[in-house]
Amino acid sequence: MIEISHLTFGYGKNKLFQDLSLSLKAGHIYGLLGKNGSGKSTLLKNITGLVFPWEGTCHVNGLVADKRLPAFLQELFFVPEEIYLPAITAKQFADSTAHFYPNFDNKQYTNMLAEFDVPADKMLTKLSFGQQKKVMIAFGLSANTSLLVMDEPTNGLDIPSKSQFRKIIAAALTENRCIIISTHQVRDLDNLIDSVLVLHERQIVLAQSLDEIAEKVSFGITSGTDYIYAEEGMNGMNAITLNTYGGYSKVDMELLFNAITGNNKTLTKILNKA
Amino acid sequence: MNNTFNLNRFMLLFKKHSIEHAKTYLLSVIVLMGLIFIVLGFNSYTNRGLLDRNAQQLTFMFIMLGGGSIFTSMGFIELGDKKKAIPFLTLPASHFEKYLVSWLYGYVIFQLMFIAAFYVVDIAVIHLGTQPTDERNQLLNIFSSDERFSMVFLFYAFLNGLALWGAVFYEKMHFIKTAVVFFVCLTVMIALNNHLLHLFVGQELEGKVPFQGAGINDHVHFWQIYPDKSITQIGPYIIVLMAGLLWTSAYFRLKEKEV
Repeated sequence: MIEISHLTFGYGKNKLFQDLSLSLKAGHIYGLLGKNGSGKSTLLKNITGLVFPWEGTCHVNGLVADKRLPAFLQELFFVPEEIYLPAITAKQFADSTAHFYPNFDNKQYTNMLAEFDVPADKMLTKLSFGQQKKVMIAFGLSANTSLLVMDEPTNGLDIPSKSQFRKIIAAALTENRCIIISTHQVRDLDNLIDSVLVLHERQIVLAQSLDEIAEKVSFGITSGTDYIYAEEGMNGMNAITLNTYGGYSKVDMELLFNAITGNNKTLTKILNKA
Repeated sequence: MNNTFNLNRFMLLFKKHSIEHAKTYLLSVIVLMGLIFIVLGFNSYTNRGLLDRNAQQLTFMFIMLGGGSIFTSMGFIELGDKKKAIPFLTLPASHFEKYLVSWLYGYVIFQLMFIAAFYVVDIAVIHLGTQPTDERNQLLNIFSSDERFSMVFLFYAFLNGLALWGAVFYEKMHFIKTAVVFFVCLTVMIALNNHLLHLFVGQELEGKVPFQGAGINDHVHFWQIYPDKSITQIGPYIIVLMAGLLWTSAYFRLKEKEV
């Protein structure tokens, strides 16, 4: 689906990625994590062809992203962090834009708007930021493109909407579809993603499914000192330990993220071990 | 799938653009008609109802060139705002189709709309200012063989190319920045022309206009030197060529646009 090979990119003299390679497959929801300024949005822009690599290539469905060919674009929908919608209604927006996406499902769009409680006949510019975002998410999902990229999609959503968002995204995943969600609000990805990508120091330092991670390490409260990484919590030490007993624990995304971006080399080494 | 041009996709894009910009374009037509009315009306009012062809002609030329350039420079206004640029660039249509929509609006549709708006206002002003027995007011005919009109349309092609290029090239204040570049280039060209003439002739010349000629004044006699006809004849072709180059350059710049 997505093949990024030896990508180097930056702005001005500031290099954000150096020789970055990554392969993403259909049928997965990837959570892209990284600190502020680590280049999450820029990586998404490279994937969607909005910026051009200095070196290396980025292919989506076998097509070069930065050529922005219609064949590439009709299989891609990008929900950016800051969105713009024209001064027309949600229904008119679908009438004027849906034709560009061959698999657009109008019924799905109407149902999602209803589920999100967004009026279809109100001017988009009169809606709140959160409601506008819901329109974009609903449109992006209804476009049924093979690649759906969302940059900080939960920004601006209230708590009930975040939960609705999780449900809708989980239901929208098919084996032909790849969804990438970038966020710095790690908790928003709980029970949503099945694979995690961590962008740190110009590289993807972790690209694995949650199952693979849980196979290698365990997450939980510990009183001992035999841990790879730990943080003090309300009930004791929240720790990442080596999974020696073969069971599965729920991946604590925040703990994992803090450990990796805190340069815990041992953990990175264990997780990236084949 | 044709990734460069597909008529159906282009028509959909044209429709989408028209729906989303309908209000702006409608307001632009109203502003344009208001401006033409003020200029022509003021002229007619201060001349006791007389609106000669020269006044109509000048109004037509200046408002078309000025208004058209401003309108065209807004053609890719989306690219100056990241929020708007992302949906514009990721919409499944080719760069050529996206470019063609802006080109059509800025070059073809603007001229048609302007001519229609001008005539509506011009006829109204002439009607308002003309006494039943007065036959002095005559409607301007832009399709007459008057050379100045063909040059206006040619020059509009050049300015349209320049404004379209500026609209894609600059992210903010497209019109102002493009106008600054245009006047800087014009100044450099005039200065260079003066310098070259001085080198060739060895003395200061008068009335030096690039591509038009120059005059020699020895304080007793004055000689006007005109360029050869073959040079003046290619002038319009050079303007068309420059317009074509600017249009092409704008298209390739759009293909290279990053957000």
